[in-house]
Amino acid sequence: MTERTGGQDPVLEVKSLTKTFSNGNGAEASEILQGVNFTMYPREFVCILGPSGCGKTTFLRCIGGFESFEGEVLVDGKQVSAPGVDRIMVFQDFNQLLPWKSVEKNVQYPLRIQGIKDRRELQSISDQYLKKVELYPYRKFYPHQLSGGMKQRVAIAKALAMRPRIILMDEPFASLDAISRNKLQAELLQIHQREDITVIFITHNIQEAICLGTRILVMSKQGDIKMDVPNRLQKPVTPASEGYGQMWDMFNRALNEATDAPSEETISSGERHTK
Amino acid sequence: MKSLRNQIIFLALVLVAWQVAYQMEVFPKLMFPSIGDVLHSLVKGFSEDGLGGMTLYSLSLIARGLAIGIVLAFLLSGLSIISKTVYSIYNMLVSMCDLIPGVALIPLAILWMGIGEGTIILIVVHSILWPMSRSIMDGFHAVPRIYIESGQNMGLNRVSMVTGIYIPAAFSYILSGIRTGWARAWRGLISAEMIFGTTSAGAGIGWFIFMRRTYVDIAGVFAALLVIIAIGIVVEYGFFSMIERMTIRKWGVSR
Repeated sequence: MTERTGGQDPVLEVKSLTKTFSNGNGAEASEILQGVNFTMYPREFVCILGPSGCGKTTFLRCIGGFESFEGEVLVDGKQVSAPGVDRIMVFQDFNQLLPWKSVEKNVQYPLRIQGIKDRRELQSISDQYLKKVELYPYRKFYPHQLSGGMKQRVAIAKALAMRPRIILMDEPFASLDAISRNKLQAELLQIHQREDITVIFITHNIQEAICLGTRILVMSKQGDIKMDVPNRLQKPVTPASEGYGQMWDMFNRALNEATDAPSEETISSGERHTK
Repeated sequence: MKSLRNQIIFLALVLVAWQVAYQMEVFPKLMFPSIGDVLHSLVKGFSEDGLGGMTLYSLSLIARGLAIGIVLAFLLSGLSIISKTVYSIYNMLVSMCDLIPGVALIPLAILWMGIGEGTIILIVVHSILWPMSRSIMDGFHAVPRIYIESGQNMGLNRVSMVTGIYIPAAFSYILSGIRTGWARAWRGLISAEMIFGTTSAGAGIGWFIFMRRTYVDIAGVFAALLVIIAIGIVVEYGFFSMIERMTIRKWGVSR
């Protein structure tokens, strides 16, 4: 359904991914994900919408290598099963930064692990990426001195600096207030337009998906992909953009169908929060 | 500053109550010396009875025991994070050995190893290794999953996970473990010294206390206790508090 630039190899392929959680010894195992297939190409920004409990976070964690699973996950054609620096996760949790390291050291540390030892090189990389998220003046701060939104921006800078094949974002802005959230969305959009990055972004916020995604998926129970559509709206998207309303309604309907609960009357304008 | 003032007021009140109890002869004077007697014994201890040298000797034993104990505790607790087999065995070992007081091992240690520095250091190591390992392992297990996953995502191997994630993330537990170890080291040391008496290498504060008791010199006993308390306060406020300020407080993980 999505547009492809001719002849490009997929950066990520997920083949019949199944994940079961057994609740206790011998008790019935429940399937969180059942035979999910998904393919993704470089520079795509895929937003995955879905009701709570549909398995979207588990899906992302399986790709990240943080969960055991059945099926295959291939990055650049190579099978992966453990976490790796080719897939960097940005978590929803504000506490993902290491509290014992300053902002810039948080960005530099993974690079040092990757073998960049030269202090000046490390400094210039962290400076460069912290400037991208407008946190350069805060480079010497410790995480506990930052607001939630700032911490998330550092986490994004850290992910970008590692230049992974895919950045996996698990509702990174979900715990933010509306103003910070809009600001960070705009920043992330700009970064995606300027940098050569590929992103999977989990959200339950339709507006966020439309603003950021180049392709939007709606997931329902057991990771069933109900909808997989390209987002052709001209970026930056605002609620006034042409086609925004239809798109919002379409996803809202799909989300309501994906949720087992009886569909609520939607609010006439603005964002409906499923949380 | 306010807490310092309160601490000083509290100590002053204790000293006043002490002196009043002495003046009123609540307890027999032989058993309950005055503050002046204690201070006099303290000065005399250092000038005539070699308390200074004994203190230094005790400290050197503690330092050696602590160094060995800390290295072993980190090494074994770290290995128990890397390997589940090591964990299951070491965890069992800690549970078994932590209960055995150092003093209870002294008869065995004397029979097997004789009376020497090595034996005392062994008792000190025994007194600190197990409780410290317990704190460190508890700390490692309390490390939030998100730091571990962040570490895995950065490509840390199993050893650098311990040094790069587990140790700093569990630092408040580790610090409390080292504090416990330090306190337990004194207990182990003093009891060993009291039982051993002097070794060829020298005598420590424990021996000093023991001798004061045989002379029924209660003021002398209190003088030795004061020395231990003073060392404790210097180490707590000079060393541990400083480490705390430089680490967990600076990181905002402790108030």
